[in-house]
Formats: sequence, structure tokens, C-alpha cells
Amino acid sequence: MASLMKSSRMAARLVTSATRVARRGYADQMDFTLASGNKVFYTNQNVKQVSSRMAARLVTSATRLARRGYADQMDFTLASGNKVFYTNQNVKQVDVPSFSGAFGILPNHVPTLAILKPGVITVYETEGVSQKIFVSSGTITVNDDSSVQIIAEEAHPVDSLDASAARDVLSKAQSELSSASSETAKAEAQIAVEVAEALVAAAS
Amino acid sequence: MFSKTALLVPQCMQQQTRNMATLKAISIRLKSVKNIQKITQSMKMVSAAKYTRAERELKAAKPIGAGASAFYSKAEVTTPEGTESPKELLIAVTSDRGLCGAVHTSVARWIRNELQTKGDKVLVITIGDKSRAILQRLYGNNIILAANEVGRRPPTFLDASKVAQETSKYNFTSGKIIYNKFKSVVSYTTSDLPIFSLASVTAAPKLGVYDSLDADVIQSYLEFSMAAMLYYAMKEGACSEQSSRMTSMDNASKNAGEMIEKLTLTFNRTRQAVITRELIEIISGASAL
Amino acid sequence: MTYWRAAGLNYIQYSNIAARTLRRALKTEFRADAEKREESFIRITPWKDGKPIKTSSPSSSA
Repeated sequence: MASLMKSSRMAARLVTSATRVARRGYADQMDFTLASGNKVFYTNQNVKQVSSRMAARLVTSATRLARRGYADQMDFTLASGNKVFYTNQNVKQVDVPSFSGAFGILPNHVPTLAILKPGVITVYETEGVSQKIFVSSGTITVNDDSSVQIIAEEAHPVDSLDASAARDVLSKAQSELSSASSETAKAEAQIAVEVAEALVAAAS
Repeated sequence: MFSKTALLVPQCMQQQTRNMATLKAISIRLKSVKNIQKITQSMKMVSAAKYTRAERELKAAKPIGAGASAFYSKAEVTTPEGTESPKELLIAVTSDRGLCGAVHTSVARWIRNELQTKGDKVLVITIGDKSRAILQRLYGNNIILAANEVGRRPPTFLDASKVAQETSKYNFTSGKIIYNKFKSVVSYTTSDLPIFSLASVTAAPKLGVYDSLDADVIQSYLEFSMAAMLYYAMKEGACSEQSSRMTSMDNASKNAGEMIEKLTLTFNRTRQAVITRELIEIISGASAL
Repeated sequence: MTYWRAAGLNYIQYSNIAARTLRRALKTEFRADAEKREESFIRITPWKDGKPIKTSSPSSSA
């Protein structure tokens, strides 16, 4: 049952990643079917664009998932400039916020590189045990040997955040944004607002 | 520091039968060596404390270094062959402060060897005054950035970011960060971390297996990786430096101890000789009466 | 292209600002330790032809 749930979650993720590709495409209509030995992903659905490389990759990753089954391990590392949270630890799932959209990482995720967006990483260690960590920024690397490295400049457990301090930071950043004159100062204030909004959301 | 005094010791021995002036000279020398020993001993204590901290911080930085370079090895990123006018970038990770054995010289020597064969196709960034001082005389033209005010406090991510930020303004095809990798309190090895440009990463044979990449993501990824790797290399360097300073100050204190022993012996002998001579003078004076 | 890259910033600068903002929002007991990481004394001078170039504005990325 658990493995079924997992593969459906996986499939949902594949769909999102395909739609993400699609968003970059053009406005024409398409009648798209994508099926693999173990699962049917789309049947005559209207999508915007599919890169064949992408589709091929989806199929391989789906078959790979099917072949290796449930016993797979994830080699997870989460380190930041202030603390090391995980080193080569096996965890069930990691949800990360990135510039190309939030996504979940399960064992045997398609290899990818991504840039962290300020927000909360959720690490599902074992059944029922999870940890929420707020990251400022950094990189996510998923390699084809199922090792996952997340490196952040600054990361703290969500419990260490102070809700009222976060609100102060947000209002200060907002006022800086409105008073910013140069293009650079505006962008800098905008970044601070973006981070502060994420902080307020996470802390409350 | 002690080579000069070491030369003076046998000189004192030759003159040991002479007069009060030698005695005075020896006692001054003895006092100064004792003072030097006090200094080296306290420097050892200070670097021991700094070393403990540096080692603890290095442990926290290790996964960052490993994580940041994992992608390059796993995606088999290499310098593309046959590029027109390849520019190699070498970053020397040292500090401003000396009295720590050969940590800085070995980094500088590594770069010097590279420069001897590759010449002016190589750009050099020096972190810390020491590597700059060694390289600037012969290879000053290769230096494009020099960073200092390093080594007083433990390196921070912000320090590394600033260097990475400045580095990003220069074009290079491939590069290396040269730093001292800490092994144990008594040993370190001079190692290199490869760094790559956007062009070499996009040309990597295994990049195709990586999903949803666009140029913007790769660029940001490389920018951050650069800062992360520099941070790691600086932490390794700082830890090697402190441990090396600790051992060399320990050795210096031991050497000073040996010298103090020798000088004390000479001093006592000379003093005895002076007393004996005075006695002889008195006795022979008395017997002449 | 993201707005910050359009404004001439890169991800290192983005990251520095984000990290600083995060540090400000920590509970007081963690903030003192976090502020130590905002220290940076490093000074970077560009060199050319074996000599440092005098620049009017020293590097300041933070």
C-alpha cells in the first residue's frame, strides 16, 4: 500500500514537472499521451509542449522507480553555513522550495539541479517523524546515484524563528522598498521583502 | 628566529675565560631567549585555542565542500578540449599571518610550479598577504585580485561570498582553488578543488541526465557553489594554519629551552672562571708581599 | 530572467541578503550567535601588471 501511495505521489510530481516544461512553451493545443510499462501518465490530454528528451526521461525514471521498488535509499545531506543538519542520512522524502517551483524529492528522483528559494524544507525522516527547516538560499543537487545535497547559506529549524521579529523585518523591508531610489537598492529591498514574507508565513 | 642566537653560542664558549663583560653579554642573551620562549609559549597557547575552534568549524564545513563539488565529479564536468585561448584561474587560499611553518609557502609553491609551465595563460587570485608577497615578485603580472585582512578572525561565509563575487567578474575556462587540507594536528596536504565556468558545465557529457535545467539555474548554481567551495577551502586552510602554528610554536619553545640550558651552562662556567681568576689574583698578590 | 538579475545582482548577493534577513528574524537567544556570521573584514584589491589598482570604491558586496 505504501509503495502504491509513493508511486502515485511520484506520478503527481512527474505531471507537475511536465506542466512546468509546458508553461515555457507555446499556446497551441496538443493531444498528448504518455504511457510506460508500469503506468499511464496522460491519455489524450491537452498539454502545451513536451520535450522528447523530457518525455524519455520521465519514462526512464518511471521504469527505474518501478524496477528498484520500495527498498531504495536516499543519501541525504543538508548543510548550511551555521549548522549541519544531515550528513549522508537515509530519509524518506524531502520537500524543497526552489525557483522552478516547490517539489518533493523521493529516492531515485530524476537527477536535477535547482536553486533554493527562501522557505521551509520539510524532511520526512521516518514514518511520522519530520523536521521543518527554514533556509535562506542555496543549492539543491540530486545526482543519479540517489544522493541529494542541499547547501544553504543560513538554515534554522522553524522553531527558532520569532513571529513578531519576522513581522518587524517585513515591515522594515517594505518601507525600504518604497524609499529605494536606485534599481539595485530596489531589487535588494525586494529580496528582503520576499524572504520576510516567507519568514512570516513560516513563523506564524 | 633563533638562527642568529644559535651562532652566538659557540662564540661565547670561546671567550669563556675572559672577563666580566662576557658574563654580562651572556646574561643579556639568556634573558632575551627566555623572553622569546615566553612569547612562543603563549603563542602556542593562543593558537591551540584557535585551533580547537577551527577544527570544530571545519567539521561543520566539510559537508558543504563535499556537497558543492559532488555535482562536478558526478556529472563528469571537465574542461572542454580545444578551446580558443584557455584561461585558467588559480585561487590561493592563505592568510595574512606568518609563524606557522610552511603552510603558505607550500600553497605558493604549488602555484609557482603551475605558472612556470603555463605562463601568462593563468590568472591568479591570492587570498591572504602571504601568498601575494611570495608570488608578486616573479609572477605579479598574473595576479588579478589580492585579498587581505584574512586570518585574524575565522573565515565567514560572507568573506567567501565577497571573493566569489569579485571572481565572477572575470572570464575563465577552468580553475582550481589551492588550499591546505587538514589531516591531523601534525599534518596537512596541499590540495586543489576544481572550479568550472558556465561553458564547461554546459558541455559536460552527463549533463543531459539532469532534469529541468536552464542557463539561469546553472548560472546561479555555479555562483553559489563557488562561494560554498571557497568557504570550505578557507575553513580547511584556517584549520591547517592554526594546527601548524601550534606545532611550530611548540618546536620553537623547545628549541629555546635547549638554548637556555646551553646558555645557563656557559654562564655558570664563565662566572666560575671569573671568580677563580679573581681568587688567583688576590692570592698571588698576597704571596708577593 | 529574475528581477534581481535584471537589476545587476547575482545569486551570491541574493543569498547574502536572504541570509541576513533570516538572521534578523531569529529568536533572541539565537541571534547573538548568528550575528557573528555577519562579520567580514576581508578586503579585495584588483591587480594589474603586478601592481594594485587604486579604486575609488572598495569592494562591498554586502
